Amino acid sequence: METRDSKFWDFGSVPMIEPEYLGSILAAASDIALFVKLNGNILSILVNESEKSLGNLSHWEGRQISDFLTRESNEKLDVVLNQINSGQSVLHSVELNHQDNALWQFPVRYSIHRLGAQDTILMLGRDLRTLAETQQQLVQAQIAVERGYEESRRYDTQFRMLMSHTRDAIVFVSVAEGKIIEANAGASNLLGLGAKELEGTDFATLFEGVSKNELMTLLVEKSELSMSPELPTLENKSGQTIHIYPYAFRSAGERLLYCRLDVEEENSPSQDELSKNLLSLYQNGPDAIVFAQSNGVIEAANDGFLDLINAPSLSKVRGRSLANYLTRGQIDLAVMLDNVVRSGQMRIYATELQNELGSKLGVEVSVARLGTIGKRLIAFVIRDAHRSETMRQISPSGHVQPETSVAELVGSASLKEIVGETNDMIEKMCIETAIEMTNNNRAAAAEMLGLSRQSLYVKLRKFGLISKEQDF
Amino acid sequence: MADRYHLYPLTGAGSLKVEGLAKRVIDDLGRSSPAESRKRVVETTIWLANISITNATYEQDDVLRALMKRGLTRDLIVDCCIPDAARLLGDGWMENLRTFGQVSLGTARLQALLKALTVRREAILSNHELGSLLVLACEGEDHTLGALVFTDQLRRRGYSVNVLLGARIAEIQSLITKGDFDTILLSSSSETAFETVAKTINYLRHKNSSLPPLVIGGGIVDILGRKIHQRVDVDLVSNDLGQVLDFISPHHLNDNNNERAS
Repeated sequence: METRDSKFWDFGSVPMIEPEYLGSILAAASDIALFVKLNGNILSILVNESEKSLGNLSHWEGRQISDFLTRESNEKLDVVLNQINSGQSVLHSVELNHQDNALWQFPVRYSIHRLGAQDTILMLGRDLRTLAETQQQLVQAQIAVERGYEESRRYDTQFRMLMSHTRDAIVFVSVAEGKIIEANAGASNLLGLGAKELEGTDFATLFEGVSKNELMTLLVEKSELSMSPELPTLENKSGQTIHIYPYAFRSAGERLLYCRLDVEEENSPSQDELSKNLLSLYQNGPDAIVFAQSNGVIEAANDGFLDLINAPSLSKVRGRSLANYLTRGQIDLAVMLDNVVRSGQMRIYATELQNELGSKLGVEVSVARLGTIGKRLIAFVIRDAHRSETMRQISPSGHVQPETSVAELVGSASLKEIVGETNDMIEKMCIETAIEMTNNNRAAAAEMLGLSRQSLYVKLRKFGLISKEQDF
Repeated sequence: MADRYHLYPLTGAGSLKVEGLAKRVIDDLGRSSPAESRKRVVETTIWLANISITNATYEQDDVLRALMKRGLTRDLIVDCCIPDAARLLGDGWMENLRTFGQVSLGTARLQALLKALTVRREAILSNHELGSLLVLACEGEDHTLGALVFTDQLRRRGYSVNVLLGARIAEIQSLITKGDFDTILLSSSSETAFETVAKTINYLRHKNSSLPPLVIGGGIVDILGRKIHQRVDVDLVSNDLGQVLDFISPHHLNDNNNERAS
C-alpha cells in the first residue's frame, strides 16, 4: 500500500505497538480475534467489547478450535491450516460456523494471518450473525410460502376433481381476451377439441357467425341478467346448437366468465320452441285454459275463458277464485281440486259455468296438476259441452246412430220394465259416482245431483249403498 | 439479457467441483444417455449456479424463459440442474469462493425457480394412486430444497404427497392422527437439525401404537450413515431415490405389513 509516494507499511514505517495495547487494538479491529497454534490449540481469544451478545468465550482458551466448529467448518479450517503449514499464504477470507452447544451456531468471516516464524496464526473475525438472522428470516418466509402453496394445492386438487367428474361442460373465459383459460372434459367432448387445445383458444372461434367482441358482450350482458330466460344460443362447428349459461366474476383482478355449456338434443324441439308452441296454443287455441293456484285462485286465463264468461279482460278475473264462475261454486271446485291432488289429473268433468250476469253454460273440464311441490299450479282446460255433445252425437256421415245395446234390449222385456230397470241403474251409477267424486261428502253429492240430503239418503238405502240404521 | 448472466463464468481448473458435477450427471442420466444432453445438463447447472448469485438485476420470469430455451425438459431441470446448482453453491462456500450471503441468496432463488417449475404440476386424480406420503422437514431445518425436489419426483410418479416444512411435533402428530399415510419421509441435512428429527421420531413412537414406516433421507445420511439406526427407530435410511421408491411401492409395503401381521 502506498500513500504520498511513500511505502507507508514498509518495515519501520509503523511504530512498534506496545503489547499491552495490542490486545485492545485487535479486539476493536475485529469482532472476535483468535490466536491459534497450527495444531488447532486456541492460545487466546479476544472479543470486541461491543459484541457482548457473543457471551464469555474465555473457556475456549486451551481447547482445540475444532471443538467449537461445525463439521464442515472443521474441514475448511483443516485445508487452510495445511496451506499455512506448507508455507502458502491465505489471501482470501474464510467463513466458519462456530458452535458452542448443540443448537447454537454463529458464522464468522475470518482473515487468517501467520505470525512471523512462530507456528501460530492470528484469526481476525467479523461476526456474520446479522446476515445469518436475515438468512433465517428468508428461510422462514420460504417455509410460509411453501405452506401456502400446499394449502392452495389442496383446493386445486379438489377443483380439478370437480371439473373432471362433473357431467356439466364447463369453460372459464377471460373477458378481456375472449380466450378460454380452462376447460373440463365435458366441454372438450362438446366442442370437439382436447382440454389442453381449448386452453388459449378464442371462445368465439368455436361458434359460427359470431365475433369475439359480440360474443363477450352478449355473455357479459346475459350473465348480469341472471334470471333472463333467453340464454345465448350458438351453433358449433359440428352444427350442434349449444346453450351457454354465463356467470361473470373477478379473480385476482381479472374479469372471467364461468360458462356452462349445454347441447340441444337433436330431433326434439328445444325447450324454447316448445314454450313458444304452448304459448301459441294458449293464445290461439279453441278451448278455454285457466291456470290457478292450488286453492283455485286464478293466476292466468286465456281469451277462450274470457269469452265463455263474457269477461272484458284478464285483470277482472285474476286473483278471483274459479268457484265464482262455476254454477255449483265451491263444490265443483273442491271436487276437481280433490281429484287432481289425489291422482294428478281429472278428465271431462261436466259442470256449468255462469257469467257475471248469471247466464249458464254447460262445460266439460279437464284438470291437471303442474309445477313443483313448493309452487303447485292447477291447469283447467274448459270446453263448451254443448258443442262437444253435438260433435259426439253426429256420426261422420251426419246421421244419428242408435245405440247397439238399446237395440238388444228392445223385445227382451216390456218398455215399462226396461225403463224402470234402466232408471234404477242410472240412478245408482250417478249416486255412486257423485259419492266417489265428492270423496263421500254427502252434502256435496246431494248438491251435485240436485237432490235434497234427505232424498239422497233414501236412495242410498234403496240401492244398499249404506245400511238402514245409518242416519245423517 | 443473456449476456448479462454470463458475466460470472465458473471456469478455471478447480474453481468449483465441476468434475464431480459431471460425474453425478452421468450417474443420474445413465451412460447410455446422449453425450450432448449430459453436456447440456452440466452447462445449464453451472449457468444456474452463476445466475442465482448475480448482483445484476434478477428477474425470475426472464431467467425462467432463458432456462427453458436451453433445450432441457422441465423434469431434467428439476431433478438434476437445480439440486446440482445448489450443491455447486455449497461447494463454492467450502472452497471459500462463495460467501455465506451469496449461498443464501442463490439457494432462495433456486428454490423459487423450482416452485415456478413445479407449482402447476397437476395432481393425479386417479383412484389408483400409488399411495399417500407425508414428507417432513422438521422445525429448525434450513435446507428444504432437497425435500421439495423429492416431493415433486414422488408426485410425478403418482403418489399423493403432503409436504410440511418447519414442522412442529404437535402439527405432525395431528396430521398423523387425521391422515392416512402409507409412509412418512423425514429430511435432515445436518447433525444439528437431526437432533430435532430424533426427538420427533421418539415422540411419535411413544405416542402412537402403530406408525406407518419411517424413512430418513437428506445430508444426514452422508454424515451419519448407518449410525442413524442406532439413534432412532426408523425403517429405512437412504438418499437413493430408486431404493426409496422400491421401499414405498405398494407391493413392498404390503409385504411388510403382512410380515408384521404374522
